[in-house]
Amino acid sequence: MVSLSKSAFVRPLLQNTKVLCSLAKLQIIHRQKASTAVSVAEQTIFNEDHQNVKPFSEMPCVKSYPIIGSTWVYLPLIGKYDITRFHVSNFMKFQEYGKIVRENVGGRFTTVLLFDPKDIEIMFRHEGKYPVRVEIESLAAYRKMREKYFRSGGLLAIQGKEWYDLRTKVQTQLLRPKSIQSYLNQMDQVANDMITRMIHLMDNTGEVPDFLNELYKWALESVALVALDARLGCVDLEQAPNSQSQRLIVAVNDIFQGMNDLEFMPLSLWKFFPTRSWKRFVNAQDVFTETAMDYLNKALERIKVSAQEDREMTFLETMLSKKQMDSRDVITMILDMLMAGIDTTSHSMAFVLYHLAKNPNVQEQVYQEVRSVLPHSSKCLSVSELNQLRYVKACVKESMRLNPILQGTVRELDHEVVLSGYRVPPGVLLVSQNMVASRLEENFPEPLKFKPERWLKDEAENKSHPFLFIPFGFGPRMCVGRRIAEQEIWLLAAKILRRFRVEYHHEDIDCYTRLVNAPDKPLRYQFVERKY
Amino acid sequence: MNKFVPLMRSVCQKSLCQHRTDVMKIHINLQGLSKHCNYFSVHFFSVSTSKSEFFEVRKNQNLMNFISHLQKRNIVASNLNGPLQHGEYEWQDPKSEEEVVNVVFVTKDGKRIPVRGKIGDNVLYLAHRYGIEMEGACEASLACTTCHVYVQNEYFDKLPAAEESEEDLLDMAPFLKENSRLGCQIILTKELDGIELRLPTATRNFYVDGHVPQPH
Repeated sequence: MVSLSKSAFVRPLLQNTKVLCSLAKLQIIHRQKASTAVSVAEQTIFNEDHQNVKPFSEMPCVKSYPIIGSTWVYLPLIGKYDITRFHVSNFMKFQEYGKIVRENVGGRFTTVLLFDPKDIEIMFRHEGKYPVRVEIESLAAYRKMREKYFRSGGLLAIQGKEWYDLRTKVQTQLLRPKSIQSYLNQMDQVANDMITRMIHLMDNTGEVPDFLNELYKWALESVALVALDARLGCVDLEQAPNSQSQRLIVAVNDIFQGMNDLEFMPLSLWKFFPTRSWKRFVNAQDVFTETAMDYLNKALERIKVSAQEDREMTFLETMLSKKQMDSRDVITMILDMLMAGIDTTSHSMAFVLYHLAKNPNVQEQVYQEVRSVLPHSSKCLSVSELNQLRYVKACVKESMRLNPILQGTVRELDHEVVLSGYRVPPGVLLVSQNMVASRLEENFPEPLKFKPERWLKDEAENKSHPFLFIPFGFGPRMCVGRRIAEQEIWLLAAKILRRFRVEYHHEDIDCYTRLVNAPDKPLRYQFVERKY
Repeated sequence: MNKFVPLMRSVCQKSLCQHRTDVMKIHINLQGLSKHCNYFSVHFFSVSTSKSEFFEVRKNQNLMNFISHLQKRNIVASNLNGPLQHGEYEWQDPKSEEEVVNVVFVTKDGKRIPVRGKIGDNVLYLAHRYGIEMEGACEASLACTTCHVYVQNEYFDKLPAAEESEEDLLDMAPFLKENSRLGCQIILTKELDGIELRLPTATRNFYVDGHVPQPH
């Protein structure tokens, strides 16, 4: 797919904070304090701990200079951190500075990296009613330019009351586990078709060429069930090389790469004149928007006919029938789902299969569990059968502990808090470092071992701190696509492991940062069909 | 009363979009809600007649009575088609004594508030109806823990076991106890008649109630 750009520009640290489900805004929102109770309580903290609380300026800090901030540490040759591997650079910072580190990124933002789950918990406890995330400014700027389609930047980019009003219109339909269960059979069918396609594409060693791209197609096909009420045909056996769906996938990849490149240049030149990366980004966005709009228009035509049927309304129909929802809000939401539902889910799936391939004993247990629930491999899973797949779900969790799609979450608070004994002023970007923290011995024994047993309630020996493992975030701003993604991954993982033994005999796979974490090597898994 | 207005707006709008496509705008005027008056008015602006019809609603009037009044006047559809919005069901009174499920909410300062719920009510929305301070920031979408409650005594065992998604969140609730549940996942059944639900000292922020933080 898209290779990492070897841009001479440096993209500082914020990278790790981006979530698809979480692109948001940096601008300071002037909100009222959550309640007087909170501020009274804060004073109590400060009175209690007054002696011990240290000022913000004393917090360990990555060395920085005026204008460029800490940018230099990422420069080739003189810098020591690798900008494309934030999990490694941030681990180095942890070793060097400790569990809380201040950094002036690109001379633009002050960030604080939180490695201590207690601090991460405090961050979430103080996020208030309208949690504020950092914005992907390039996305917001693009959407402002294309007012025809977008009334706002979408859930990923807006803040405050505006964000809440949009979120509240979609979250009950998307995030309640039961609402996504109505798509279970269709998603199961997509998983079956994906397996048929894998068998069709396999070479004689059992490898599927460009398997990551096949996963992208599967993820797009699955999320389109909810977003567009349709099967797009991305996992069909016969496909034109330049099909509409492939164009959409390439565009989404380019968009991610573009956002990654644009957001982290120290000077944001693209804001002043159209730079080459900005033009490339706009071009990819346009292709994506137009292709997706084409799909959406077809979906709207179909709905006009099918809406008369006597059945429960689908997500898309519910959105469209909401009188108080602007049609451009619906468009924005649907486009967000298509954009945010491809790389995220497929990379997560890729890592689940990777860890299982590397841990044959675990894989064998998964197989036994799936076989007992699904005696016939092509049968559709019911809701109760899906609930029985406890070990599969534990494997997915364990894979997300080691390889989450994002390093952590970002929040900007509107009031001062005390973190690790330092007073942190409002407006600072707090960046939780869950990925680094989850790979520390003090938080998970034998941290680098893939042990799904950690997540089985009755077998877990020592409970880990609950705020260590939050791959989808937490609270009112939790990833709104979480249930869709989880259900897709559980289904495909169960189906693949029911049918094949997965092996991997090449160099170890790690991740690199391309807005979200992506596998850094081709997914050359071998799929060996099981006999029974 | 504050909850009444948005709820009514959504009920009216939903029924209007199926019934009266000519009505473009609903305006709810709260100016009558002063010390001396106790009503507010609802205006329906119609495109076809370019007139507005308006109704006064008394402060203590039951929402469902008001809706049925509108139905009789053929202002809104006589059968509210389609699923109810989340939280609307809880605003309907029990139709018979058999349906009633008595619930006692115990606030964080120990005040007991008895409420007459009914079979099928979601505890979170029932609490909203009766002005009990249960937040529910994520609207029962299982993303937060702001509707955390303690289920007293034997009623805890009568509830269906929490699913994994609820369990995972409960781990993150402040002041977690053995009998903790999320209010939004409790649906009333006749068996739960008499259930007692206690609100924790805080659901979001440890420090709200003068809790002394542990040094890190």
